[in-house]
Amino acid sequence: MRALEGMTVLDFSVGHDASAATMYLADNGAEVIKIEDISTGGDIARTLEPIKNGKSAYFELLNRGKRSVTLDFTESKSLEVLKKLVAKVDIVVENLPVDQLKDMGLSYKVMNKINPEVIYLKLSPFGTTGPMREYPLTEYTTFSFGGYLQTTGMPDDMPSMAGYPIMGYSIAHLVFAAINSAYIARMTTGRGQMIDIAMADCAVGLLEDRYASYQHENLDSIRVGNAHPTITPYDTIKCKGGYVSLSPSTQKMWEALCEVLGFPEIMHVKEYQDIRLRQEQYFRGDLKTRIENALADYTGPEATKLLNDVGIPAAPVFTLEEAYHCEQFKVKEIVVHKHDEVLGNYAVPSVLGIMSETPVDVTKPAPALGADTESVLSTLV
Amino acid sequence: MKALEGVKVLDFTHAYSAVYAGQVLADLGAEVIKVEPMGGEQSRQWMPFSKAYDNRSCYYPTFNRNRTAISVDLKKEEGKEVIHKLLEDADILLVNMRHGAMDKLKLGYEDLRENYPKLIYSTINGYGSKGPLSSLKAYDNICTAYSGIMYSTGNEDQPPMKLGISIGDNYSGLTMLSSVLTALVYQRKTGQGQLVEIAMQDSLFGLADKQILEYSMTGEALKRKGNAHTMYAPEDVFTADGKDNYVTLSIHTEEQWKKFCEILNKPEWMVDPRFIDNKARREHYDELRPLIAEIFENMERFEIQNMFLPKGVPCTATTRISDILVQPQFTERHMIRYQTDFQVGPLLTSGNPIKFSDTNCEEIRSSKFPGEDNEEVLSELGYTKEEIEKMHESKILFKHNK
Repeated sequence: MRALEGMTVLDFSVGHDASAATMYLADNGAEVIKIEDISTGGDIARTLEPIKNGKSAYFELLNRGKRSVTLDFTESKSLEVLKKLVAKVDIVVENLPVDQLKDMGLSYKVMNKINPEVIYLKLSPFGTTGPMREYPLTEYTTFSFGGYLQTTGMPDDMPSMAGYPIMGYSIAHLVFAAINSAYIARMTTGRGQMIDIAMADCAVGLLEDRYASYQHENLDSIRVGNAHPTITPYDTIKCKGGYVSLSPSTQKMWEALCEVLGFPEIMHVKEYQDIRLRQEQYFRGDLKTRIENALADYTGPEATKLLNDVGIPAAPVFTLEEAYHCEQFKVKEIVVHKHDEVLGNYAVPSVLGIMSETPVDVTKPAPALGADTESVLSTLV
Repeated sequence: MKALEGVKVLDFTHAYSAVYAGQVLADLGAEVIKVEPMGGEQSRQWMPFSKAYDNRSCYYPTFNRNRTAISVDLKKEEGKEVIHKLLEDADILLVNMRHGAMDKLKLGYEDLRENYPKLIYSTINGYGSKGPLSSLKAYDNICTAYSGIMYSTGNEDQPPMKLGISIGDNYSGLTMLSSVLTALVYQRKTGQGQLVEIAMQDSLFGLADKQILEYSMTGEALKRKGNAHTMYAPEDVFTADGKDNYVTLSIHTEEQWKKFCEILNKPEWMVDPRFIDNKARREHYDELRPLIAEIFENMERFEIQNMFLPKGVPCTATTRISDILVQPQFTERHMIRYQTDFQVGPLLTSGNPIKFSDTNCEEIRSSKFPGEDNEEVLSELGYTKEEIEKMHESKILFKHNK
């Protein structure tokens, strides 16, 4: 049995973030009914790359295990159908333009009247309140406005965007957690409620100790590349055919590093020994070059072994291919192989927590546009 | 009532990753009892430090608000007894130690599951409990390197770049949070607990969704290409006026492109065959980018943002902390907060992004000194005042001298 069996979700999600959250719900056994607006061609995620033979594999990944009902949002009779569906579900999730459902006649007030137990989660760029409430956001612009881009990359170069949707998936987990929390609260109160989540709020809420650093150290989003503000050396070093990341964070590890890389004579020299001066030596002196030269003939895995053997944490920087095929993932079945008539063979990651009693299931297919309209409406409406 | 009122969490976490999960559970109203080693948890020694408050660490207070804190010697039998009494009522146990560490203390999942069948036992470590890497300790940059995602960030001529925020810790903490709450739904319905294992390497790998699809379907993996490697054009970072100032632009629809051209008064771009649709703009991006860059580089970044964002074109200034603090939007949403903290004084921090209409969870209470709640927690368990005093004297409990 899966953990969320019995939970029914009316899902207006489009694109990535909210759909990833309802994907997590579906992976855990919730019944997720996607409502797609046929007047705009359905969920825009059906047009996202990679596309093969006209079908989006990205949509397939994000919407596995869900059902699809199409309605024409421009027709007034659709509102009646939606109201009947709201009466029958536990959760309503949406990330449509901020006032769209309300303008259609389906505000939270209306939903609550139809079904006082319904939990309504609205995800939007800036939330339902505040001067920016109607403005749009994307992964890129959230990463930028949320304070991440300024801190990422080399200090003397342009900042770097992440090569993967870290904002979107972080937001998805918060949405997923919020829905579970309200569902649990309802077991005590017997009441539903509205949950208002802003993408921008999620972003600024995940900036770790940067606020405290600003307040107490006057650090205003500095960039340090792959280095660490207080540990040196701590970096990703070019070696033979790849890179190795290392983090010798203690005095003992520093001494072991100097020994194993062949420059024990500098270990206790003031300019290298003192933590603050060592940083100078690394960025503006010769310490980085010493390390690069010492590791130049080692591959990533060889350099890792060399350093690990003397107690220094290190790792080869795996390419996506190397991670995909690594023994660790094989043992834990992290890469799940699937097959689709149109897409052929493809794989998805299964990386929600490994749950001992209620394992997650990522193997189901995503629905074709409107495939479940008749069966859902005849059952529920 | 807060959302998770009545939920009891035993928190053995330290540093960051799982601590974040505990923090959100505490913010949402769960009773989170943090069990620290004698002397307190190690992150109480970490920067930044509050000069006005005895140079105490601000790191611990930032991540450990809204909790109860006890400090117990888990190696001693009497210390373990306290934990077992707490376990009787506990819904969730959180830990982020090296695989096997809790087993040594006889507090592993297998040790506890029979006596505490409703307990949800959740762990974060670097690589999980199986496989050749499972004995390694978790370090944020090391796990990120092993996950395959580090490779995809940065320009072609740069090394693979880590993010400025520790996402290994952050993201595994988020995964623990949502997974533990999923298990709690199940537990509330069936009375059944379970083991929930999060591995940092796995969680991060899952972020490379598009790369995994592409690789599995074509055998080709996305290479590191810099800031403009998405399926859209223009979608990129641009330099704005001043030192180290930037904006991002994210045009995803033809409607947004048209609006963008109108605002810039460049009607010719709308009909130029090189820029006529997304496909053309991607092909000719090398010609488009400099045209946009030369306009933006002389404009102030918030000026650029305000030209486009209110009109529905996604374009934002690249903010620093100092910018975030003065956004009216974040003030309105209660996202910029001062934690009234008795360890370090008024502490700048961020609020809870989950806004409930019924079960309000906005409260932020001070972090605790080591062992601050020893008496309260133990007397609730039935220990007498004398017993508790004796346990302090015989070093089973630790309490900070304020």
